[in-house]
Amino acid sequence: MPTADPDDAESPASLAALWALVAVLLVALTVAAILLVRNIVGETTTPFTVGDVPRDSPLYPRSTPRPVGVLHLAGSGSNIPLTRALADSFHARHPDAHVVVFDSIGDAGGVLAAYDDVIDLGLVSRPLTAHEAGLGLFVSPYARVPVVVAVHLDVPDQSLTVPELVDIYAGRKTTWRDGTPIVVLQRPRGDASHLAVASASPEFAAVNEAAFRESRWRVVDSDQAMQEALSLIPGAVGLFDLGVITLQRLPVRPLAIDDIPASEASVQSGRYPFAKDLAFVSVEEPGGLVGDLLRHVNEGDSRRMMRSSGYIPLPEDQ
Amino acid sequence: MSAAASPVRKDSLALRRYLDARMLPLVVLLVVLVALSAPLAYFTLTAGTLRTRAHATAAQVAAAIGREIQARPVLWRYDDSDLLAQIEAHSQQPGIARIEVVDRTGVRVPLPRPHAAVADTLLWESAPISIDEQVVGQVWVGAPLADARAGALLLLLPFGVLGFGLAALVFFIPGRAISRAERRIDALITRLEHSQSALAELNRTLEQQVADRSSELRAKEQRLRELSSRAVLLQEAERRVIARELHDSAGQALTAIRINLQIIAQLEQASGNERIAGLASRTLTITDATLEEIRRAVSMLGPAILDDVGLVAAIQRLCDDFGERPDLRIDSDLAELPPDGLTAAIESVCYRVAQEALTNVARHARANHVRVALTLGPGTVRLEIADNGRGFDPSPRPRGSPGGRGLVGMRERVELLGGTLRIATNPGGGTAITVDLPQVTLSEDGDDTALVVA
Repeated sequence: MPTADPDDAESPASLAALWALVAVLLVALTVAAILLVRNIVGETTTPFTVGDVPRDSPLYPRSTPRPVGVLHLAGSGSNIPLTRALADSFHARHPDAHVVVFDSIGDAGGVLAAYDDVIDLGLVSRPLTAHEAGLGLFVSPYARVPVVVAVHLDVPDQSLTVPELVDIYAGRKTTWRDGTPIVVLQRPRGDASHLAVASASPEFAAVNEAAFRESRWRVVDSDQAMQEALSLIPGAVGLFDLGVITLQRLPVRPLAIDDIPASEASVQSGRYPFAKDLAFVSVEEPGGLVGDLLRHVNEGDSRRMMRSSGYIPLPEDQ
Repeated sequence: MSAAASPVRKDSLALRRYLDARMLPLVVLLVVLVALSAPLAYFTLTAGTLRTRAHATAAQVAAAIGREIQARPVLWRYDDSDLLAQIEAHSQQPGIARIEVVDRTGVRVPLPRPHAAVADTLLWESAPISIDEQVVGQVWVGAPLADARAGALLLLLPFGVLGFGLAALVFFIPGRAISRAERRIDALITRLEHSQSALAELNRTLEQQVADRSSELRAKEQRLRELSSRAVLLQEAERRVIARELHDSAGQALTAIRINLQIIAQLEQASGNERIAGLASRTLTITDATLEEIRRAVSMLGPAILDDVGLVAAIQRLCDDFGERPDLRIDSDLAELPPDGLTAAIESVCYRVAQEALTNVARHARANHVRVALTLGPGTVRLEIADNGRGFDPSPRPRGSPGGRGLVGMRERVELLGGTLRIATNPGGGTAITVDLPQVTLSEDGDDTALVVA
């Protein structure tokens, strides 16, 4: 007896058609899924340009032409008090010249703004990074300032050792001598004062980075915020530069390190370990009004003013 | 019925195989659909959520930076501490891998922060940084697709298993049902085939029985026909014997009596004894009447001419007698009979058919030519009488209608001897009567008369 299937003769063709239909459906579903995912995910490549813009690029953000007789300076907050004092003395000597020192935009901001030719001089308080050094900028150091461990005036301690400083930032030392809790303040990564201490003490560099990673301490964004915190928070401690404290007569006290106070002599002798250099950076070799300003900074009155404010003029006296 | 009890037939319907072949592509489709749909939906929804969240974060960061730009319209992009503060405030949200600020030329603003190496593909959403409806930059937020992809891949396993499970159910449940149905159908077909075989066997038995009964019936019919023939032969032979006896004995005696009576009458009349002469004359008259009756009876019992001259001469004499009519010509073609002749019954039937047919020609046919033929075949005798007369309608006449008795009598006589009588005629086309008779005998020597006498 033959099979009861009436379509038996057509079975191979109908089966092949069914497989073909399923294959078409699978392909259509796959294509639809891919289109759906691509539509949802969209463009996944980095949607912006990364890196420095060459000066001959149409994207180079050179600022509009600045008026003659006006200098624009911006950068690290560590430089600003001294630079503004120097700008004032420069204006006194050159009444037609105006030097505008903007509020802090940070070391990196100062370097990039100078590279972008948005300002005339950038202010930096740390060595240029390798990347920044590769931009071909002109660096003109003009002062060195001791970096101090500044504390609230109520803190009874007068001196710290470097290991004690490391313990404080590691969270192992939590009170001052009188039992007052220590309130540790940090500046953001890249802060020149922290870099200066870290370069002198690898242990501090490690605990400082660990503290960043663990968000262990309160991070204050600017010199102004640091000044305010150190002045108002009992038991507060943070890294600051001696020049700003002296120049602005801030109500904070710098601690000695290993009983050695920060001074030009202790820094120059190397007994005091923490210091940073202040410098101007420019996209072109200083000339014109910028050159006049640099020459003014190197003049005797300016150097004396710097010394009197706790800074060490650069280049150092021979 | 179990599979063991009902093994799969070689010529099975193959419904399971047919169904499996068609279910397989559908099952594959089901597995793919079930396995991929949920992970795909999860990935799509998660990616959509990431995109929405990234866009919202970008808008928030762009708004915050926009407020910053109000205070620092040019140097905002260089104040990394403020930018970092804004970015860090939002970058801790779940599903946010990177936040980048781009100036209006599309160049990323470099910020001093460590970048976690993001190996995964990022889904980027942006929001413009606008000041007084002027776009000064963009905030791009990158959301990692790794979690969405990992979740989707994680769902792939259970939903793949689910898909295979559903596919197995969809594949095997109808398959088992169709197998069960197929086994039942096979069993029914087997039973049907057995029934068909039994029916065929019964049919063969019935056919055999019918054949046997038919054969038996035919044998009985043949026997009956033979008996009828023998009866007719016996009847005809007996009639011939009776006729001969009547003719030879009673006839001769009465003839002698008649002669004597005639002599007595003549003698008594001559002697003047009128009374005896009259009595003898009346007795003579009665004797003549009796002789006439005997001759008529002899004629009815069997044509005496057959005994006198034989069948061929008798038929020839019939032809001669009817041929004496001036308007009718009769041609005869009569074969020589074997020395021992035919049986009395066959001769009687042939003679009477010829006599009846020629009488019909003379009475009704209006023919002017008749052909009479007697031929002998192997075991048969054929008599043909054909005329060119007006013929007649051969269709059967209604029962009770007059006429036709002669043809019916001829046919009955012929069929009683196992022969056939055919009439070929139509109106205006003449009539041909053909009689075929088997040469049957009652005795081996063909002398039926002797058999009867014995």
